[in-house]
Order: sequence, then C-alpha cells, then structure tokens
Amino acid sequence: MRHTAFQWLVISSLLLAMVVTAGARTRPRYGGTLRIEVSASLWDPNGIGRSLTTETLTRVDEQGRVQPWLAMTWESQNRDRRWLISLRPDVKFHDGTQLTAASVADILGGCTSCPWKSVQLSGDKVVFELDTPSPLFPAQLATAHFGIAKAGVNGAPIGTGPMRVTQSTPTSATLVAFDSYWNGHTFVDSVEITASRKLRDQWLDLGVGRADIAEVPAEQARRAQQEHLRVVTSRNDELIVLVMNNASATMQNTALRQAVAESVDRASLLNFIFQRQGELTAGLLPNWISGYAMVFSTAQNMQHAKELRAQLSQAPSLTMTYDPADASLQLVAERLALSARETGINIRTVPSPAHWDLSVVRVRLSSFQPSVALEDIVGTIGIDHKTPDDSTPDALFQRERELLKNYQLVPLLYVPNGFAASDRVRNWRLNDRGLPDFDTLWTEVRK
Amino acid sequence: MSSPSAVANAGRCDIGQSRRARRDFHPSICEDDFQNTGYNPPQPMLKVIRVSSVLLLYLTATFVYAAGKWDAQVAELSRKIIALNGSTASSLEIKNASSLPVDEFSSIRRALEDQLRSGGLQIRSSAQSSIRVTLSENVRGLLWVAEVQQPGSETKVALVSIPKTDVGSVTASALVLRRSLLMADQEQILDAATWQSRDQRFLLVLGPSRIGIFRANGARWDAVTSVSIPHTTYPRDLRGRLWIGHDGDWKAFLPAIQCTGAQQLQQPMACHDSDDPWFLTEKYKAFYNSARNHFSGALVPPLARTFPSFYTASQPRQGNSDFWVFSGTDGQHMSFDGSTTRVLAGTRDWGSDAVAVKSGCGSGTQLLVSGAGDDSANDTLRAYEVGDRDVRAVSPPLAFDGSVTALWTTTDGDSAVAVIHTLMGSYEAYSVSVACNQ
Repeated sequence: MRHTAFQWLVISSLLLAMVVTAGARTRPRYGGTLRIEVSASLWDPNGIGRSLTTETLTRVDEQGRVQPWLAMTWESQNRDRRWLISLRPDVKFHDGTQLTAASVADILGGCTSCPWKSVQLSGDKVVFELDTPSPLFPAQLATAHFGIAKAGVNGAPIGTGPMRVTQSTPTSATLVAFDSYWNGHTFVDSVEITASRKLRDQWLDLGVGRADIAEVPAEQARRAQQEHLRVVTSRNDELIVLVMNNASATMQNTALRQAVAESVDRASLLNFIFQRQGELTAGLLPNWISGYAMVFSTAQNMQHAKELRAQLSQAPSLTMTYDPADASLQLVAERLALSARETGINIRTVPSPAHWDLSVVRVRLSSFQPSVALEDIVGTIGIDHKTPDDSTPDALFQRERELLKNYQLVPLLYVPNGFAASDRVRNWRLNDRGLPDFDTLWTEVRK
Repeated sequence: MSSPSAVANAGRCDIGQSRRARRDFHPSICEDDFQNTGYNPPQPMLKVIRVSSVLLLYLTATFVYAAGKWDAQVAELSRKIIALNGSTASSLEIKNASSLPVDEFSSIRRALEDQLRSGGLQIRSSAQSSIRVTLSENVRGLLWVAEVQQPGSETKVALVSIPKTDVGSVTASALVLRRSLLMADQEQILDAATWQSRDQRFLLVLGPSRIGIFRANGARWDAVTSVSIPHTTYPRDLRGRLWIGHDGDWKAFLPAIQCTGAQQLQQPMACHDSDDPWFLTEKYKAFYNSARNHFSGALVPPLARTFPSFYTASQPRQGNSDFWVFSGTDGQHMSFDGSTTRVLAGTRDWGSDAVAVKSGCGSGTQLLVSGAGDDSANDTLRAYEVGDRDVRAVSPPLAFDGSVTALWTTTDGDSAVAVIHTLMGSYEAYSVSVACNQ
C-alpha cells in the first residue's frame, strides 16, 4: 500500500513538473513521432491502433447521418433486403494492393453473426444480401466491427487507414504515415503504441517524457486535473450496465430481477467511484443521443425493492461477476451487492469468468445512429438484437422500453473517456469516436 | 459553395456589430460615417423614448414570432397528449432541458398550455394524473417528450421530433481593425478576391473543389459561374491562393494545380496540373510543397540567399523591396534585409501567417499577423511594425470567432483576405485593412 502511494507521489511530482504551455497558434507542422500508451490490447476494435489502420465503408456523423467513406454510393433493392455498394476509386491497402469489390467481399464475406447472409460481387459493386429488410444498413456498416482490413503478422491489420504497421509485437507496434493514403498524409509521421500498459505506468511515462499520450479513465479525471495534465475527454459514451443472466434458473424470477434493479443506488456509484464524471442513466442510450432518457427513472426505490424481496419464498444468494482487469467495475459490483444486501438479497462478487447470475459490464457506444447504437449495445451484451429501426422516434423509444421492461438489463451510468497529452502535442482534441484526432493533431518535432 | 451568405461592397466598415448584424450589414450604413458627419447633437430624452419604443416593439415581435415559429409542433404534441390522457384533469409540468432560449421556452409553454386547454384538458395542480413535458434534445435536433401518468397505469409517453435548425449562438467579438465580410459558406474557403470591371464588382472564391465567381447585386453576391477543380488527394491543412492580375486575368494556385480565367468572364476557366510557383507579390513568386502545407523556400526570382521552408513571406517596408519577413515552418520568424538574416524578437505570440498590408499611415506598411491559440480557440489578427531585430504592435488585436486558416495580401497590397474557420464549423472570408484613424 505504501509502495503504491509512493509511486503515485512520484508520478504526481513528475506531472506537476511538466510545464503546460499554451503555445501560439501556428499552422500544423508535418513530422515527428508520437508515443502512445494504452491499457487495452493492441488491436482493440475501439482502440487507437485499429482506428489509425482500419477504415469502414461508411461513417456516421455526429448528427447520426451516414456519410461515404470507403464506399462512395449505395443503393438498396428488394425493399432494403439487398444493398449495392460502390467503392471509392484509387484506395490502396497498406500492402500496395488496390481496394476492390472482390477484396471487400473477401474480407466481409467470412464474417459470422453479421447482419447479412452473403456478400457477392456485381461488376465493380459489392452486394450484401440480407435476411430482413434493413433501411439502416449503411449506418450499420459504419461500426468498427466491419472494418476493412486483412490479417497481418501478430494480428496487425493491413488496412487502408492513414497509418500502416511497420513493426508489431503482442504488446507494441510502430505505425508510419501511409504515403498513398487516399485522404492525405497525417501531420504526424509515425506513432509508437505500447499496449496493455497499467495506468500508473502510463502516467509515469508521461511525466518523464517517455510517452506523449496516456489514458485518463473517467474515475481518474479529477486526479488528472489536480495534477495539471492536459486532459481532453469524450462525451459520455461508455455505458456501465448490470446484466442479469437469462440462463440462470434463479434469475428467471421477475420480482427478484426488479428487486435488484430498484435497490441500485446510481448516485453513489457516480459520486464515489466515478468522481462525478458522467451521468446517471436508466436508459440504454445516453440522453444526448436519444433525447428521452429522462423517461426512465434513475431513482433508487429501496422500499419497493424490499416489498418485492418479501414476495420471494427464500433468501436468494447470487453471484455477480466483473472484468478482473477493471478495478472500477469491481467497486461497482461491490457497491451493488451492498445495496442488494439491504433488501435481503445476498450477492457474492467474483471476477469473471465464473458461473454468474449477474454481471456488471462496460459497453462502448458504437454509433451516433441511435437505433444502430441501441442494437449494437444489446448485441455486444449477448442479447438477441433486431434489425435497427428508427422510422419514427416512437419506434426507437418503444424498442428501448421493451428491452428494459423485464429488468434483464439495468443501465447504471454513462461515463466519458479521456486522454492526457504532453505539451509537444498540438491541436490536442478527440475525434467523434473519443480517440485522439489524428486528422488535426501534430507534434513539436524534437530538435 | 452551397447556399453562401455574402456581403457585397466589401471594405467599408464593420465595427462593434454582432455577427448576425454583420451578415445583414448594408454597405451604406457605417458607424464611422455618422461619427465623421456634422449632424446636430442628439436629444437625450427623445433618445430614451425612441429606444424604449423600439425595445417594446422588439420584445412584442419576439414573443409573437417565437410562439408562431413552433405552432405546428405545439399542436402536434398537444394532440398526442390529449390522445393519451383524454380530458382527465391533470397537473402539468413543463421544463426545458434543451438549448432553446428562455424567451422561446416561455412562449412555447404558454402556447402549449393554451392548446391543451382548448383541447378540453383541465389543468389542475392538485390532480391525481400528471403530465410532465420536457423540451429535450438529441443528436438530430429537438425532441419534446410528454409523460402522462394516470393512477394505476403505466406511464405513457408521447414524442415530437424536430430536426436541428441552425440556431447557434454567436458572441460579439471585440473589433479594432477594419474588416468586412466577403463571403460565408459551410464549405471550405481557401481564398477570396474582388475586382471591379466597369461599374460592376466581382468576387472570386476559391474552394478545394470549385472556384466560384459572384457579381455584386446590392448587398448580395449573385453566383455568375463556377469551375470544378479536378484533384485526387490534397495534403492536410489545405491552402490555396488567388491572384488578380493587372493584365485582366486571374490565377488560382492549389497544391500541384493551377487554374486560370479572365476577369471579363468571356474566356473559359481552366485548371491543370502545375508545379508553377505561387505569387507572393507582383514581383516575387515561391514554390509550394504540394505534399505539405508550406512553401519549399525557393523564390523566383531568387534572393541573395536560400531559405528554409516557410508558411508566409512578405515585404513589410514600403519602398524597400529587399526587406523580407519569413514565417518559418520551424516556428521562427526571420527578417532578411538583402544581406543579413535575423530572428525577430517579440514574435512569441505570433501564429504562422504574417502578411504585409499598405496603410499609408505609420511607416506606410504594416504586417498583419495571426495570433495565439490552437485551432479550437478564437484567433486574432494584429498589425505590427517591423524593426531590424524586433517587432512592435501598432494595433490592438482584431478578434475572430474561430481560427484563421488563410491570410493573403491582395494583389494591390492595401488589404488582406483572412479566412476564418468558425467554431460553428463554417468558413468566413474577410477583407481586412489597417485604418489610420484608429
């Protein structure tokens, strides 16, 4: 314990010693190398490495509109059951080969549990055949799961993105700007990513100048501010949700699920564990996407929870799991167990994998398209998802209400993600996916 | 160049006006004109009455306008609420959780209450049923949410979605130097230039994919013609330069592309691949690095020595064509007097863009320089006199609601064109000049 405290003290001192200057506005300069440290795996689908190397056919902008990316145009046939995609010309993979309809069909054709049953070619177009009509299919193609990349050495993607991988080990990679990138050379010449790095070590490296960008999770944002880090945070785009196991015989009881759900004290989770960084939610979508999240009450109702518990014939004893690598989720699980205990429901918290009745998990928003985001959340959690449908605001609302009404999912909080940068990093901001924005950022080149 | 808002007759005045006022700015009404004209002094009491009347009229008009603006949505929500609730007596709570201004919210609340009453709903604070209306917002626009709660039944919800309208709030900037808005557009503007042909005034606007020519029509610019620019990949921080020649032609320079046309408009405009140097001044040109955002350092005709790559190069001394100031890509600003190169002191707050503008006051020519802050911050322009080794600010900074993405001297050198990427995401091209009487 003392050792940990000392380490944090050292980190704090180093970070305070960093002089954060507000430099003059200058034109972005080309060149330089950025060193990035992250705690997740190297090629995490939502991570920096993947986003720099791999692109999707479409993108969804911050207003939820689909925009062309590797796909230039698309059209549907057979009442949105067949989608024909035309690709952007003159796009190259990092291995020098051309992006073609055949290469896209080859990459996406092998996908299992995807929203299509086949991917074929029709001239220079890619044709997706779907089981059910899907008017929002182009928006679905924008999610990170459907990135266009071939597999390279050590799992490194060979994509079409602004940077290509030149060296890769299981925990580190060097990326250099891809000269043939169709959307222009990044200002930064190269990026070195160190993955699976503990947060404490990331901050230490940032303090001594061994790293330029480190992570700042929501629960550490206050500490980062106190230590004068140059922190930028995303919108509240990560859902923390309690999932009740549908396969568990004990959890078949609706009254039990509702009792656990109503015992939840979201305010204490936000205030004490996440240091007020984020927002309470009882909806699966954040209010900034749906606009109606206030309809789902976030209030704790201990009285009703106890009444529901009283309806149960015997005192249940449940097991709640959490990601062992996520200390904050462990705290959340313990706090939830404490609240449930007050109603007479015993919950044991254990790291996953294990047999589980309940589990607390994080899910990152995958899209600004509300319906696509909603179905992706439930799909990620492992619940049967449907074809996205937002033909009316009511359709989206009713779908979300349906997902929540049996208390299998209990949304708790939406929290932001953050990153801190050294003062070499200029135009320091995050993109709409909550990652450092390499379209604009540049670095002071060491002399 | 989609649906641009533009102001013709540039170069008059723009002092102390809000951005909205600037867009509606009429060239014949200038604060300076009033100040410099010998009218009788205003009568204070008359002024109070006049101001009060105008204020009253404004407030009334605002209320009526705001209520009318949302009539359809209020009616739709009201109809949905009554469909869910019937005429059951209910309490009503309306709150604003969106970016709607308070005055608009007040008028919507009143209009909704009136609609619900006229639909037969009895609004009572002590009723068992309750209706809670939240004027909310999501990624697509406004969302009005009504929750209808009746005893013993599940809460019913009615939603009315309103697509996002461009009602961003703008703040007035402090204004010191003279500027006038030439063109505003959602698409990127790289440079803009004006010329006079007989009694008509024209505006040339350079974008990444298109050059547009506009003709002044009162306070508006009417589109005359345009030409597409064929291109594949541009470098980031794209720059482009327009040059209105004294020979009746104009040229547009982009990385590895040059376009030409005639001011008489009869001749066709054309673009072609080109590595020709870009005009810096009437006499000097410089080679641009087509894969980056700066000049390579080589000038035509060559100077007495070679220079490292630079963002801008200008001649800030009237009558001394040997004296140069370079804004280097290494962040340093250097002067060159024909034989000696010096790093200028006092340029810590300078950005990358510095251009010379002839004013006829002070030394006759000043350097306009972009100011401090990253892209996300508001930017400034400021005028400087340049000494042999240092610089001296000679004007307060002129603030913009966004960052300066382009700054070029006009062909005649008596003003500059500054392009601002606003915080709202649009682009605005301004003509900026140094006024002697400030």
